[in-house]
Amino acid sequence: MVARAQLLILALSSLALGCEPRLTAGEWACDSDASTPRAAFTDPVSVPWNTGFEDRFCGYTQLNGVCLGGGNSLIVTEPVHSGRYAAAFRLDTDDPDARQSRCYLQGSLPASAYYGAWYFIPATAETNGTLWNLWHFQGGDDASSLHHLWDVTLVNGADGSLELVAYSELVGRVFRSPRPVPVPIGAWFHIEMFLKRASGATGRVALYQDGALLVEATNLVTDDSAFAQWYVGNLAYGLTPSTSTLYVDDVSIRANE
Amino acid sequence: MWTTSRSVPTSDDVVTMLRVLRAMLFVSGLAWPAVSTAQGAESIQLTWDAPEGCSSSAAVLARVRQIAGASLAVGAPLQAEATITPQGDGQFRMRLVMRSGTLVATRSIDAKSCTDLVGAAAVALTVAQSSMDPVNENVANTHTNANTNTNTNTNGATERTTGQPSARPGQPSPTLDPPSEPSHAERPPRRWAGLLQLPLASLGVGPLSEPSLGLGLAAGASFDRWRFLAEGKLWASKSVTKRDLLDDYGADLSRLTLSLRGCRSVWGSRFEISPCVLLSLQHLAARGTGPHILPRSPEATWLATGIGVQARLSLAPWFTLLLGVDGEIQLSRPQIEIEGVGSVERLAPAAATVTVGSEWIL
Repeated sequence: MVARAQLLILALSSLALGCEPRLTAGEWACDSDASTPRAAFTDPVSVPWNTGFEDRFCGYTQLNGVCLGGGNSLIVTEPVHSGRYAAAFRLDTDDPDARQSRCYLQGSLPASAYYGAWYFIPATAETNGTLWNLWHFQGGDDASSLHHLWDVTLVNGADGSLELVAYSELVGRVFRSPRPVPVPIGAWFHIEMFLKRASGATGRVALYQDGALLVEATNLVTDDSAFAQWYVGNLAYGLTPSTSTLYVDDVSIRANE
Repeated sequence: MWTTSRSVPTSDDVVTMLRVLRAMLFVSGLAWPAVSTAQGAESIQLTWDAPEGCSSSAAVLARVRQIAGASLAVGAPLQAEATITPQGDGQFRMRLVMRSGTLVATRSIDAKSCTDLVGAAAVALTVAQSSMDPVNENVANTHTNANTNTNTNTNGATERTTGQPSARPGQPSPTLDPPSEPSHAERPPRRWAGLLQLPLASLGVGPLSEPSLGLGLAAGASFDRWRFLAEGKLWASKSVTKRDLLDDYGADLSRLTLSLRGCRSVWGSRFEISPCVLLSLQHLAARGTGPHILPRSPEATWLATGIGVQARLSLAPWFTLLLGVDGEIQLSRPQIEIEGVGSVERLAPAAATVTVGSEWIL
């Protein structure tokens, strides 16, 4: 009798444990009003634009942007530069599937604008001569014909410290400061790039770190595309150590001064 | 030997009052025996319809005088009709209808001999005249009205003594006392009764992660010591939350329970203990909450089964207080989640419920 009761309880318990229907009571969405129209991905990017990740990655979503890297692009509560949240971009260069975590926005970029973001690098790393990219611009006539335009990248200085450089795919040149300033480790710093788009030799580019000009180039082809994407995050191929997490906050695009 | 079938009052109060009344009549009978004796039997108008060989109405009235003696109170004139018919099994049945003013009482008495019925009729008439005293008309009215419902009571103690003479003439013979008014405990309980449990207030621990309060009702029937009920309980809405990053997300949960319950009383009478088995249908509706949440309203329905125990305290034949404790195993464990946030609630595999309420016996 007792054995039968135990069997019954076991059977019922198994049944209870085995049947777990999932009730989806809602979904997190950028717009609480789902009827809000979104811009077409080829529409001009209106400025000023900024996101502090207070509404997660909705700032990118509003500009038809996408965040890559799956769970490696995430929202964190610390460190933050302002507000309550920041974004963390993790990677592991030893894992071919985890070598980037970035968000990009897309559209027709302003004729000229300042692109900025606050970065927090918790620990330095050795790039081993490989790419450690923070920003990437690519463009084309549409999303199916994209080519590289500009990169903002970290490289190791002579003393092993990390410094910012700019690279133009169109010009085929690395723009590096003659007086490099190491990026701070464990502190927020601001990266800003002025880009005057030009398909002819009338363009201009300038890279700033915490407001200080690092490099500047004028009268060059800067952007030959009608449509572009701007990536912000973390991409690397051969870091030591192989894992890296960069924190980003207050990404912005603003018009000329 | 004779047995009686007679009307019974509808409440213990009436029975008690009649007993008190009889005691008072007994005492008053002792105080004024002459008056009582002289006027008691003469105020009875008896119509006696009996087969040949049976005694006459005069014998009955004589027996009334013998039984009542000094104790018979002066009452209103009593009209009685006695009809005796032989039964197939050698017994005799007497139908005795007694009227006093607007009051009517009826008895059906079986006996082995016609002679026994004479004694039984005399006892019945003596008691009836006392009970139908106009002074106690209110009580008697209640008694009379109750006659519309006739119950049968078999009292073996009176069967053997009916034919025996009074041991002390002038006083009511204890052996000839009419069948006593059946007490509440002596009455055979109704086998069936309708049950309405309303309201029921419940405290549930599980299957939700936080305790819930519920309100409900139940309806059903009892049969002997068995009770079968269908219950419905509506639980107060609960909000479950989950903190994700620095924001609170959650869901509002509405729960409804429909149960079938079977119980059997195993102990007690006025205070009863009844173990129960129950089968429940649980229904849950959820709606997501939180910043940036587009809510949906999914629902789930599943079965649960379990056991319980009910304690019931009878405060009146028609009213009971109850306290119940149930334990159930959920045959499904819905998980409530929000896309982009994750799971906010997972129901427990078991639940316990404490219920208090009142029960109305129909």
